[in-house]
Amino acid sequence: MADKPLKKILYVEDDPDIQEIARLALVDVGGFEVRICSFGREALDAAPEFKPDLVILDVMMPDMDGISTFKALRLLEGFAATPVIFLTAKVQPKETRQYFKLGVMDVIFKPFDPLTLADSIKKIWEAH
Amino acid sequence: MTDKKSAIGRTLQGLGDKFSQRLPVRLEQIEKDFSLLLEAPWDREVALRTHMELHKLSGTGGSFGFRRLSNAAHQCEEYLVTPMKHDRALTAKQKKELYDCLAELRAASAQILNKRHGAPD
Repeated sequence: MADKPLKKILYVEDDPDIQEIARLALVDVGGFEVRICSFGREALDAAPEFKPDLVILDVMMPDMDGISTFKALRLLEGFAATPVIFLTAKVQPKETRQYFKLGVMDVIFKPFDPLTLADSIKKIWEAH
Repeated sequence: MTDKKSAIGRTLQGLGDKFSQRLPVRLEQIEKDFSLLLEAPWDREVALRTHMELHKLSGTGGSFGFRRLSNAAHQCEEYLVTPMKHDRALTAKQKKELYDCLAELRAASAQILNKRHGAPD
């Protein structure tokens, strides 16, 4: 991914507090163009118009969780290979392996440091 | 650059204050749900709701630097996993674990609120 600059991020998270921290971390600190959605379905509607370079999905969300959203996203035209990062609380290594098996680019664990989140994402992007 | 850093720090502090202000209400709801789980017949919906709220509290609290609260919420969340998996009433041991972690959650919340009001730790 390093040859393509990372500019636009679609961030999907249902918790309003985390949304605000993420906005601070990604927009104010990271300088990215960010669209925040509260639910998986909202993200699926927003993605074709926003055309994100990267999608960040919270794993645990009501109704449509991160995994279901990821699978539905992959079925959207033009999103079969869009990089996706899962954001999740500490989980068992087995679960993390399952996420990678699904095809996510990486997994970031909560709680995250709002001052370093953007750098972590940039590093992940450059490493791929 | 320093100005930007300061502004970000102030915004983060403001968000943390808002989080702290809402903490008593969130804790009250968690306590009510814990009471239902500990004293009433097993209710999967209540367990799921409580698990989700603890998960959020752990993630958000940690990002604001409230490590003790984050760890306590995470511990409570973990203790709910097994009963939810088996979908059955709590055992005496599981009840004890939940009572204990709720006590720690209360203490962690009180610590945050005391700091907000300028009281010593």
